[in-house]
Amino acid sequence: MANVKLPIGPQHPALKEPENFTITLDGERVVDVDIRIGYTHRGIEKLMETRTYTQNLYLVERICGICSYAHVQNFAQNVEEILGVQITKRAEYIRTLFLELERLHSHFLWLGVAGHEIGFDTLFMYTWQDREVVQDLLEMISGNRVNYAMNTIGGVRRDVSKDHQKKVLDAMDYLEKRAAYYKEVGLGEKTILARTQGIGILKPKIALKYSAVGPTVRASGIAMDIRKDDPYASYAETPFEVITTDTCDVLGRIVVRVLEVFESIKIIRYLMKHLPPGELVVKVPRKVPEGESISHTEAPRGEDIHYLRSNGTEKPERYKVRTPTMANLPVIAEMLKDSYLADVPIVVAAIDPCMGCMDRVLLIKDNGKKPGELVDWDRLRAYSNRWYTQKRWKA
Amino acid sequence: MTTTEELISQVLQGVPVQVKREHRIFITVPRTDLIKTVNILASELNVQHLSTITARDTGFEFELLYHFFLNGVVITVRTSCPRDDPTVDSIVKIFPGAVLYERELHDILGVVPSGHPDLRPLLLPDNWVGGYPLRKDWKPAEGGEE
Amino acid sequence: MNCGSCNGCDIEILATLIPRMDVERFGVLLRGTPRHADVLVCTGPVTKQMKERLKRVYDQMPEPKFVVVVGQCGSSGGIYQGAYGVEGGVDKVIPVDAYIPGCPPRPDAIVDGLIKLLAKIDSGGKE
Repeated sequence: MANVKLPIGPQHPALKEPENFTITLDGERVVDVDIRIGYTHRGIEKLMETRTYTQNLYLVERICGICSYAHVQNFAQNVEEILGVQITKRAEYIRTLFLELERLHSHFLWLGVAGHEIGFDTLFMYTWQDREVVQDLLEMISGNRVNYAMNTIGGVRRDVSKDHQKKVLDAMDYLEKRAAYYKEVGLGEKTILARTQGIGILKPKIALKYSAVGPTVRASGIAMDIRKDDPYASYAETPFEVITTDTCDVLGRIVVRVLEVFESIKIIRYLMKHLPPGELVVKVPRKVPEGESISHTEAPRGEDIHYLRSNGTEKPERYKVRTPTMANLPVIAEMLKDSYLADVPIVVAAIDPCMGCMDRVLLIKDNGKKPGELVDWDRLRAYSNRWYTQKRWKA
Repeated sequence: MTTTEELISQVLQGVPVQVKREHRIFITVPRTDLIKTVNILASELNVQHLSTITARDTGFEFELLYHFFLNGVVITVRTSCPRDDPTVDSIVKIFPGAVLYERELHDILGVVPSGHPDLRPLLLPDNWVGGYPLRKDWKPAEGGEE
Repeated sequence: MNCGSCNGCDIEILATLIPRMDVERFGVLLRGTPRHADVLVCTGPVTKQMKERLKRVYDQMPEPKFVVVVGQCGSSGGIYQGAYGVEGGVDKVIPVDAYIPGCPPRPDAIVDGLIKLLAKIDSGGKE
């Protein structure tokens, strides 16, 4: 039993199990990419029909542990719209604070993951250490580092005290310095540029053709950002810019996220300095009258959209969620066409995928003429790093 | 959003346009007009972004909602198909971004988007013989893999 | 190994590697392949899609091997109990040696749980 090896060599016809990624190669060039998802499909939408709106607040949060708050925000907005409820300004500001704190932690997290994908584990250590500052703020206010349980239908459950406000502002000063450092590193460090500049090109026409979202499209010059396009929470008031670049490559996706960190800091500073007094919750009925609503937010990864159909009871009739990563899956194949196999890890990471593990990759060699190979993601990453190191030596 | 509502009424003559609230418009069409409607939205109004497609079992038919986004407005095209003939036309040729959303509604509701190039299961396991989970008459007991 | 989790636990596990927690000082290294691992750390409710893969990964590990479950979902299915895509907790599929509860458990709790398991292993292997 201990001698089971990872299948290498001829593709076993008996191996029915689908792989996450099937990459068709012609030599070292990628011809096609097929992605298989469904590994983390739990059946949440159906489950939501069997739980009350209050219970669903906690379920919706756990669709994804990284942009969990964007989901809860959409859910609360949907229910509140059908109820015809207007939450207090203070509650709105606090929700916006959490939306932006989430963007901060997610972007720092992503920088570390991207660093790891190109062999820069130091970048991972630095960014995740900085990210802890955000985690501490989240925990300070909500009680948890992840899954904050901040929203209730009608407002928020916990307050932001004057002491919290001060600590948040202090943290923003620190994170701003760190982001400036990463901006320098990202744009100046030759090894990062070699791995990301001109890599994973996504032309704007293609991005629009496939309805892709988030920093991925903003790096191709498309100024789509739900916070500006269809403002929600406090975004109509808080000053910020939509960040775009037009390099259309992985480097662009790094630059967009780093610059978005500065914008998030701007928004958070505004929120903390202008936090209005008021109640945290307004009373709402348990039963939601028949109706339907659509809510979308700009999650760290892009547009997250939810649809609610209510039926007059305490439980939803139908709840639909489309996460941002799903919207970006079709463009992965386009970005990888004609790329080198060695670019696969960073290009995939650059859309900031929120999927379960992408652990197994099937390589179809020479368009099917050579035997295929099954590799795991770690091996693919190691291959990429080796490939680029050798390339540097040759150059 | 008066401007978008007016534009839609202009290009889609005779189609009921419902403004639920600011930035939310709903258009209802029979499934035979789906392709025509989507084409007009794309070519005359330059709608480019399809956010997603929601599919629902209303109890007596399957309702499909195509959520588009234009100039800050979510424009939802509503159509439906009967239980005994759960098919609609695939809009993949006009909106390639629909490719995964149509696979999803095929998986969970059993609606067939005809003309779709690849209807492999998206979310459900390959060996799933458990029926269509989002149907109202679906029972977990009959579900599961083989 | 992510068996169907929302990534919440996975992120907190990775967070144990950073200098603030530094799980490596306890002799714990993250390995990507089951063939070189002594302990399998599982997160998430086991989805129907992942059931066979989980079994296979467990079988590929050489003896002696141990399984740690991080989070509510791995322990019992957690908040997803009853969902059609979910098989249940990890122990429905493979034997589990330790459970670290939380949603997600903090990195310090994860390190604490791992150390307790290591101590148990040192003091007499599987019990």
